[in-house]
Amino acid sequence: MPNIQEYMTEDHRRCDELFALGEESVSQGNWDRAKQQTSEFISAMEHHFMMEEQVLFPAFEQRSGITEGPTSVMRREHQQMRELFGELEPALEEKRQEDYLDTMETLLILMQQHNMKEEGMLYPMSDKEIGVDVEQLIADMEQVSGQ
Amino acid sequence: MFTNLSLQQNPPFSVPARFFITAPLFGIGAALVFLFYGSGMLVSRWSPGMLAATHALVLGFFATVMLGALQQILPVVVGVSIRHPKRVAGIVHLLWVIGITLLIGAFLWPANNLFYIAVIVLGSAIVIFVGTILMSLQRAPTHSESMPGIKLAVSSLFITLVLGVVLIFGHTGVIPLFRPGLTNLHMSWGLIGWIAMLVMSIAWQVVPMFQITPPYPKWLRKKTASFFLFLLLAKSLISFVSDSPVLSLLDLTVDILIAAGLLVFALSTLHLQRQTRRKVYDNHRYFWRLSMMNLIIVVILWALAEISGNPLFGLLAGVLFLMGFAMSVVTGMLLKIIAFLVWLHLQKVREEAGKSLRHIIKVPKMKEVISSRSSNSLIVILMFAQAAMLMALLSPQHFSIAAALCWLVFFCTLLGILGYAMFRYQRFVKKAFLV
Repeated sequence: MPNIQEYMTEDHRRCDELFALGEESVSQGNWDRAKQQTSEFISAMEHHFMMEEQVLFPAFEQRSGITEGPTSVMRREHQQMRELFGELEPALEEKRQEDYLDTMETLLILMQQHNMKEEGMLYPMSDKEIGVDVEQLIADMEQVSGQ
Repeated sequence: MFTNLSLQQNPPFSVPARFFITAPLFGIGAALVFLFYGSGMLVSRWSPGMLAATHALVLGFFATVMLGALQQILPVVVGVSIRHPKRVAGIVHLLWVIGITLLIGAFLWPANNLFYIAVIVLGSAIVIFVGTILMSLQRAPTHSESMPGIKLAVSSLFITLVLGVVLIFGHTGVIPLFRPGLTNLHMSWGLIGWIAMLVMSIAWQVVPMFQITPPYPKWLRKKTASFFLFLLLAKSLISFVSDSPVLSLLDLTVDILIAAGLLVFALSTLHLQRQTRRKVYDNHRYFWRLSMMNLIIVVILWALAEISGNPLFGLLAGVLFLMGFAMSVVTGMLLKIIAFLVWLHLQKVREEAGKSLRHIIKVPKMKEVISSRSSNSLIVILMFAQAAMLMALLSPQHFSIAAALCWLVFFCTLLGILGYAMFRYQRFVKKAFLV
């Protein structure tokens, strides 16, 4: 029986790996590869955000009746991460290595403390709230497009 | 059902910050005591200098950082935040600082009344803090894997304090002084129950996430807290019963299991680190690695102490546990947390200051707040200080002053780094309100 916890956690780990690749290429000065990998990383993140913002969060809010609670915090943190994504592209264009790596470092901590809250609390809670409809919900999330 | 969940409620920056900036000051205090007493301090576990410096470090540095950090991480790790964070932090911090200062004073210039006042002040701080945290944990919406470990750590801090109070009554002659039995128990709860348990519970979350490694094995995360709780309880029970060969064998078995538990933790952390996906240079990883290597050496030294019966090995193990294992990991985490918190809170300041400001000022990112160069130099100083400390224990006459000076430099550098981070924070806040 699939569950949100496992499905979404796995997606977090996929994003982590893409994160590490971009960071590695920039640190080696391989800018072309870095551009490609960073954009893959950002698309993966955007896709993940969309799955949550369009499918998971509304479902959670509807079932639990809490709209101003954890999901609104998660949305705000998504926004903060998007702002940092926005700073990665100019750093790549202008080949500012230190700036790129610093942004990534900050992004990593922001992203991981966000993931900790989701994996430790929001996902298990969603599994409980959504119950038998989890399978359908995951299918709906898979339909979401990244951009 | 989940109305108590407070994922957002990061406490205000001043809540953890006041604890973080106080910690190196006590570190400097400990180094000064060491410098002043020199080699004379190291002759006995019970010398006034030794007791004062140890408590300045353990309470003043480690526990202070950990108290600050706990208030910060509770919302992230278990989804609860402390109610009235500013008020609680204000009261606890004030009592805490006064209490530790009095206690250090009482060790250096023994006076019974000073001890009693220290106990009352410090005791109040701990009771308020532990009470608030345990109450908040009751409201936790889900059971994070780290929760039993954090609960055990916080409860151990309390038990350590109670045992400390009993020891103080012994010290001042009110009741018999149960040395070394009770002191050893006080140390077991403090070092293993509080410090090691907290480091392990945090590691399960932090190492895989920040260093992008596979997770710790599930059995390790699930069983560690109850394993150590059982061993600490067993150890406590054994120490209350009178000596017999069977019991000392049992006590040795418990010690071996504790050592084995620590060793498994250190080895699995190093093993995970080798599988990191993050190939860029990150000094945070080196703080952790240094810490785990120290922990392995601690276990080896402890085993040597048991086999040879030479108390010097035991002393080396104890000192390395604090100044090697705990110091490396706590410092590494501290730098990371502060840099991130400055960014996070300034981000909020900028948001609140309105749209007009957004393009005018830029929030400094983590490495602008604490540069890689500063953390790199700190780790080098730390390694020197650790080596000097070992030399000082082996040859007190020759190396005590050098070791004390190394630690003084270390804590001053740390204070400088944290101070600069807070200065960046203040400067930004001022600028934001001027624009």
